[in-house]
This record gives sequence, C-alpha cells and structure tokens, in this order.
Amino acid sequence: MDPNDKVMREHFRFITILMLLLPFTGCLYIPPLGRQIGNEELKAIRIGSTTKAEVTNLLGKPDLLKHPQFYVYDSGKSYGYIISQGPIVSVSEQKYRILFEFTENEVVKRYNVEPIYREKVGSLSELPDNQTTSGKEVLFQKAGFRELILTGVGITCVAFSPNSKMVAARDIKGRLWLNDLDTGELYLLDKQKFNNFRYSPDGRSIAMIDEKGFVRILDTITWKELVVFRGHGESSSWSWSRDGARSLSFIPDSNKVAIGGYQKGHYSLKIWDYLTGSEIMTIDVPIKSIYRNLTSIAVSSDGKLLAGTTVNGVGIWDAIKGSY
Amino acid sequence: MDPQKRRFNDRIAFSPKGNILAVNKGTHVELWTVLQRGTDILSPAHNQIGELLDVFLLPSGDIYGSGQLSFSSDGNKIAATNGGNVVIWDISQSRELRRLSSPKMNNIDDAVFFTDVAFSFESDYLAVAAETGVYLCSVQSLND
Repeated sequence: MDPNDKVMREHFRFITILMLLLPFTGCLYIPPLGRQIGNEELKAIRIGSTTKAEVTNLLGKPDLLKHPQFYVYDSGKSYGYIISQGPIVSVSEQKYRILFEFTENEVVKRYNVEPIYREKVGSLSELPDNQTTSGKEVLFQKAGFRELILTGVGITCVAFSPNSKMVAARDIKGRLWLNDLDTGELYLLDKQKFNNFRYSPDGRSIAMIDEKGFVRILDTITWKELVVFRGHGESSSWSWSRDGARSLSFIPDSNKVAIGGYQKGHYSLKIWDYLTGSEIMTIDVPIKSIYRNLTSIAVSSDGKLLAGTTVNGVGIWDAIKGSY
Repeated sequence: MDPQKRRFNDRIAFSPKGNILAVNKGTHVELWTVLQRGTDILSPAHNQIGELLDVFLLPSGDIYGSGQLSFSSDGNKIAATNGGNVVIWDISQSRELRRLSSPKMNNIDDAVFFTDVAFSFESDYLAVAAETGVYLCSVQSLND
C-alpha cells in the first residue's frame, strides 16, 4: 500500500470531522502539508462563513500544475486561485482575498479581507495554461507580460536585485514582497512599514524610507536592520511640510547613499556612509516652496553628479565637493 | 489634463552609461546630457548646464499618478510610466518599442493604474508594477 494513502485517510477523516463542526465553529482547516502546498494534495480549503469567501476543491489539472505561480480551482460556485509554492499562499475568489502565511505545518498568519481587482477568472475549461480571461491580464498578455506577484493590494515600487534573481515590490500597505525568480518562492516582509526603497549596488543591502522619515539599511540575507539614518529629523504623520527623508539614491562604487529630505523649513541633500553610519556632507537646497521638492534624486554612474527634482526644474550638484 | 496642473511629481534617473539624465514630466520624457554643474536648473530656456538630446512623448490618459522611469543597464532602452500608460523606447533609434495603456475609464474597474517600472541589471527582464501586482516581460521580446 502507498504510505501516502494512510496519511490521506487521516486527512480526510480530519476534514470530515471539521466539516461537521464547521457550522458551529466557523473555523478554518488547511491540511498540514507545508511544502506540498499548491499540489493536487491541497484538496480542501474551507473558510468559515465569517470571512465571506468560500473556496473548495482544487481540481488538479496537470498542465496548470507546471506553473509554480498559478493554480486555478473550482468551488462549483466561485472561482479562485492560489499563487506561490513558497511560505505564503494567497487564496482568493471573486470579491475577497485571503492570504495565509505558512511555516512547515501550520498557518502563522492570516490576512483578510482585501478586495481584489480581478473580475473574472473564468472556468477551467476556458483556460489555456495560466492565462485568464480578466481584461487586465489580457492587457498585459498582449504586451508580452506575465504576472509575477499578485498581491491583491496595489504595488507602488518595484526593483530587481542587482544579481537579477529577486524582484522586490512595495505595496500600498508599506510591506515588501520578494519573489525569487529561480524558485518562484514568494516572501513577505512586514515588520517595518516603509514608503520607498532601493537596492544597494552590491545587492547586499536595501535602503528604505520608513513612515517616520528615517532611512533604514537592511541586510538582504538576514533581513536584519543594520543601521538607521535620522539626519532629516522625524515626523509621525504624513504631510508635505513634514520633516524627514523624501528620496534616496545609492552612489555607485561606494558605501554612500544620497538622501533628499526636509527639515525645519529647509530642503537639503545629505550624503551618508551607511557602513560607518556617519554623515559626510549636507548640501542646502534653497527653494522657497515647501511642496514637491526632492521627490526624486539620482546619482550619475561615475558618482560625481547629483540631480534632484525641484518645483523649478531639475537641479544638478557636485556629489563630491558638495556644491553646485 | 496637464499633469503639471495635477501636481505631477517629476521623476529622474541617470543612465548607467555617461552623464545622460532622463526626466519624466508626465506628458513626456526628456533626455539631457549634463554638461556641467551649475546653479541653474535644467530647462530648454537655460541650456548652459545641459543639452536636450531627445524627447519621448507619453500618451495622455485618464489617470495620472507619480511617474517613474528606468534605464536598461546597457543604457539603450528606457521605460517610463505616467500612471495610465507604460511606454518603452529604444534610445539610439529614438523609437517606441512597446506601449501599455489603461483602457478609458468609463468604468473604474476597467482602468489599470501603473505605478512603477524597473529593468533588471542584466537588461533581460522588465517589471511593471500596477495596482493588481507585478508583471514581468523579457526584454528580448520587446525588440520583436
């Protein structure tokens, strides 16, 4: 006898018991499959009535299972899909999306209920490979794009790691999504909310501007915070005249990062060594308007020129001498 | 509507090669060669510090957000978005390679809001971020 049969029998017995209990508990059962998530093994995901989403019965279709990112299943009533075999699995149906974060055998975190923007997924028989019938996906498909990370919440920033193996994306909730292009695994980092991020040229670090206006440097392997820059002060709520960093750009071939920010009525550009944590120079940007300055800055490939947007146009500075 | 009137935030990026600066103005993308550092601001009226190389027009649309732009790592291509459109150009040929435009916003559900573009460092992929997620395309396919 196949040893899996015994395991599956246990699962089905457990599911049956749970299904009997469900009307009373409204609870959630996901088979403790860990790595097998996204396989045909994942037959039953039942979500209690409180979440308003009910998705059951993965119809294992072999050619769909080739794509590690994308599975379609049919509940008989509504259609949904699962993305990623990694530690995060996202399940959605027409109106709501529920996101689960897994460890080896249990659900650690459950996020709900976010509206998703996909109107129609269509029925399985209409789906060649991982294509869908949604108008938005068709727009991308016609232009030769495939979907990579479907979060159900808006993405505001996207970047490749310098070795081109990871795609990092920041969503409107200030979380970081990471997709490993080799394995297809998807990760979510939501310890620290942030507004903007950049990869360092060597790919070992990410710099992010957090909600307070600090710049935080994170290690891209351990995802621990290495050092924090508070040079432009801090503010608790967002406004155009708040203190804090607004934009940043790494300086190529160095351990420096240029940071544009606003503090006490003045705009300035600061160059900061993020290995030592020391501030190297400050360039004042004498602009009277408090709005829309230094929303974007850039450093030339030789590291000599620093450009920043202002309400009057783009300003150019010497990134080495610190002057105009 | 003119994005400037809607307080469009200009975005800038330096080319990975040479002192070429791209400015996404929402309606168009300007490519400048930066000649020197100066107290002046880059603009066609004050061209002492920069020389305007090329202008690529972005289509107008119903949606304007914060623009973004990205150079490919070989410096030959540039991708930009103004919220309702993503356009990819070949710089040396001064030619549009690909365009994604949000459908007209008769129904808010039909609209696609593009938020960011990024080339990979080996210039083999282009990622486009939208309100629904991240989409990926091989750069090789853009030349077809």
